[in-house]
Amino acid sequence: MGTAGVARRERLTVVAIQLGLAAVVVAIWVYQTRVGRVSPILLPRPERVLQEFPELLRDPVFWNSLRVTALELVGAFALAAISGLLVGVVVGRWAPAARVATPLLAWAQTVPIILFYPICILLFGIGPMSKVAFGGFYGFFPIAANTVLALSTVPARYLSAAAALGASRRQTVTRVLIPAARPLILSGVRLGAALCLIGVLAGELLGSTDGLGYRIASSSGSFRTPELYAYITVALVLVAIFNLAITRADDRNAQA
Amino acid sequence: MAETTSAATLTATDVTMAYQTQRGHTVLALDRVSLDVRRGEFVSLIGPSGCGKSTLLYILGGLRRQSSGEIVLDGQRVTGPTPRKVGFVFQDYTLFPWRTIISNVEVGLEFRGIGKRERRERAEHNLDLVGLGAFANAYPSELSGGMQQRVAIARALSMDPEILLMDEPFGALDEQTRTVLGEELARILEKTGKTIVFVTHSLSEAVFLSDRVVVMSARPGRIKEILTVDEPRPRQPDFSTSRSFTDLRNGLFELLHEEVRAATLAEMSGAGGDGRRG
Repeated sequence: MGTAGVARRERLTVVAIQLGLAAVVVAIWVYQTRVGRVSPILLPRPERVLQEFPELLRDPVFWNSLRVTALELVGAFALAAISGLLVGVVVGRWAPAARVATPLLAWAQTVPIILFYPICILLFGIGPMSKVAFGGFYGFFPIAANTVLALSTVPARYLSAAAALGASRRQTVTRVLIPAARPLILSGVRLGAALCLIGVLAGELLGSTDGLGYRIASSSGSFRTPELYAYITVALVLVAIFNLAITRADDRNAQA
Repeated sequence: MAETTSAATLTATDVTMAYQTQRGHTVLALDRVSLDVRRGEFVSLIGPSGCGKSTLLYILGGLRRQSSGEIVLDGQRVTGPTPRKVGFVFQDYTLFPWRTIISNVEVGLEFRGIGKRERRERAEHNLDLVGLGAFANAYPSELSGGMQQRVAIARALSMDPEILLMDEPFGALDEQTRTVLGEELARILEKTGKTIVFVTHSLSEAVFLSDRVVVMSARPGRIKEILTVDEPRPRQPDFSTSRSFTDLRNGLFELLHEEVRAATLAEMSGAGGDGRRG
């Protein structure tokens, strides 16, 4: 028993309340659609949405959309991570560049980057490439900004200690600089990954020929609301799986 | 008693340090400081804040480059850190928070390329020496400040240097912990026979631990006087209540008082530069 038991009971209570809140939302949904106060075109009955799923899972169009979105996401994340880390390391290791770039990168994160999407379409067309580019662009900023910040704020006393203990240049980088900067870099990568997914889905919603976002936009446009809700649910599940994967990778790295 | 009569191991000759503040002023932190540290000796540097005593220590260890003058260690000019001969203990411990305690103690040996088994053995030995063998697998954040500083001492000792440079190692600790750690340090040093240069603010600490106390003047830092403490080592706790201890401490106080007064007045009138820790 003891504190571990108390902590576990607390956690169970929290989960129970969260499930309760979800149940309340579903209950309101069921009630409103039963009473008939809400048009089924705006909000279909929950069971109607559920019925969509067996159909969806048999539909090659669905699987293809899922595949397109997943590939765009992988491409966007690779682009954001590689370019963000590269720029971050180059800028972060050079103090004058870090002073110039830090406010710019912070400012870029407050800009509605969605404004640049039309340019992406002009450059890369309406196909998957524009989503990869846009998602990558979206995810680039927090990764680059955090990497610059992480490397330029490693306490000088760690470097003094490393020097006094006889670390070579390479040892200073691999055994001191990188481990000291890692937590902040990883949180940037996590944030960047979430933004990549937002960028890809938003790009598909706004202008595309395929992908989950495109299906959501087209089923909304033709008032196929049960399908719309089903696709939104799939997109949310994808987000959950993706975030879980990123967090897991993060935890494992932290222990290594 | 160690052979304090032997030739100097670490010599500073006319060391001057000037640096630019952000507002473009030139501050003279050290002005032609010359000092001989003999083998096996315990030397304390004491002086008002900003007198450059920490700067001098960093220069002695090759962690900072002097503007002019020369540091010679065992007949060789010092131009950078010499981890095989000189160990460093910093004021703020600077353990690496992502490493366990034992792995922090062996990190210098790892940098040196010593095999896993041997460095683990040496680290364990030194961790036991500072009485923290039971905490080998803890992380620094789980230890108190005093314990972290003992780990930092073990880390420096595991490199087996001839000379240990210590920058206000107990400065961040409360008076009681500081006293106990001082006694501990005296005990450990007697076993290892290291040469020590020790920067401190504490008069009692300086008198209790040192063979010689170097009193520095307010900025620009110069050596004002060197006091000799003629008390056999290892020092026992009752030394700190003896008559000779009190006399030495009072003498030190007189020497320092006017310097601290000068430094404080300069600071209050805004002429104290940018207030950087010296």
